[in-house]
Amino acid sequence: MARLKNDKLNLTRRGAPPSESSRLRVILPILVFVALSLMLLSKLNHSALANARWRIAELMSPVLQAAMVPLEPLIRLRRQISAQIDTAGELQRLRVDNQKLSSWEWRARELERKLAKLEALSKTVGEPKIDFIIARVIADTSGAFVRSVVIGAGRQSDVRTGYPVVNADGLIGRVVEIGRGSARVLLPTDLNSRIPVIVGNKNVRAILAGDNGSQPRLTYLAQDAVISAGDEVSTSGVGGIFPRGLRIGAVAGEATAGRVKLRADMDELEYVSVLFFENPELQLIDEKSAAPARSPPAGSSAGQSSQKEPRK
Amino acid sequence: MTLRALQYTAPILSITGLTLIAVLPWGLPSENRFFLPLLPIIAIHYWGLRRPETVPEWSVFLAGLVLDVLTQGPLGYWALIYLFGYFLGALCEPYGRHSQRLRVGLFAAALMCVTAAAWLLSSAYFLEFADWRPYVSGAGYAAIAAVIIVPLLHWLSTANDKRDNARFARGV
Repeated sequence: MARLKNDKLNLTRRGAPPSESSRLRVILPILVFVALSLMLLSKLNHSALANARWRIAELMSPVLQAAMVPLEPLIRLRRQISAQIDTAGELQRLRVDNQKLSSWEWRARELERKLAKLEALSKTVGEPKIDFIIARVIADTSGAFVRSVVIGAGRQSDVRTGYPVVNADGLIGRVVEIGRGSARVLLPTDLNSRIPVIVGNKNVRAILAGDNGSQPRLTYLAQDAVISAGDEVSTSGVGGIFPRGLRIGAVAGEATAGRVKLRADMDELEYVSVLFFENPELQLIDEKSAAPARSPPAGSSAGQSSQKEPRK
Repeated sequence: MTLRALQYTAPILSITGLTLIAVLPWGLPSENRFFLPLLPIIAIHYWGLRRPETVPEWSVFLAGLVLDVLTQGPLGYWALIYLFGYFLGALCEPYGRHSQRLRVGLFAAALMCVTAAAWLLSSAYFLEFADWRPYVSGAGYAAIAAVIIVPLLHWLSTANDKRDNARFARGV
């Protein structure tokens, strides 16, 4: 009898089959209302919502890491196929690049030697060495609304909010949200990304602003600034968010449009390096606020105590 | 997991699986990633036509919400789109058992409606018309992906059917 009552057999049901209206129960409009309310709250940038969202995303990160394991051979296969298709072109490009780089290597060594001599003569303070860790990209959250990736390193690995993220090609972005074992990295193409940059040999200052497109644009350029296509764009270090000199890309197409073609392929990210770069301005503020709390010992100067040990 | 349990969890598991697939780093250009969130729609529509009783509304809502959380988009966006897809599936259900051609036609129509709704909703969110081209190409890629996904879902669905009541189903 139980078998005859099976829905698929439909032998014991009396009357007409249930209409579609009976399927669309009252819960559907309620869920629609909840979804609309959540959208409205998201539009208003409610902070509680953002915190809850990141907590849930953090909980999901082990699931994503586990999901990556069986899919990795597929992703690798796809990359190998696309690499094989363009092997001849890639080989030619690498030959040309190699020739160029050989001459540049010689020139760079010469300049390095000269710079070291000049720094020694002028007693210039050297730039601090920046430590880093390598993390894997576990989720690509790029879509219609944001351009970001989730990496498999978080507080456990000493990663903090604001740390710059790079790969071999150049800047990838910066950490904007942090969890125990994962962090979200905002890409330069995101609508909310603003990066102080310098353009070309004349070090023209500008702000690189993302607009969810593939090529972010240069804004706040000086009226008399002259830039041309192919000019290198790198971080200026202004504001202390990024260290100076991280490569980003080059001015693309017509210079008047101010679009920048990024060096790093944001769609092919696999492993990235998180730089343990502390904002020097914030460090200064921290030390100023901490100074009144602890009175300096007699005979010591402020300059002597401000040295911070490099991170291991 | 027993066969009976699999029969009832297959729809939810397939929707969840496709939702997770939508956020994995496939190395696709950002403009071509628009089809990934449409993959769960394929499963929602398929199960909506075949076994609507095994796809509760809350599961569709949760799948959308999880995608919203993982893609860092506005919360409720994909939840709303998936509910719309579910609603379309429910409307199509009476015609779902007619013929293969009709089912394909219904799926294509549902995919177009869902894509249009996604574009309209994102335009409303930004208070300006969003670029429609990634949405259209996304729908195209989703249709191609459906050629692979639907047979898998069909296999999941019929494997259970055959074991369940092979003798009763014969000749119906």
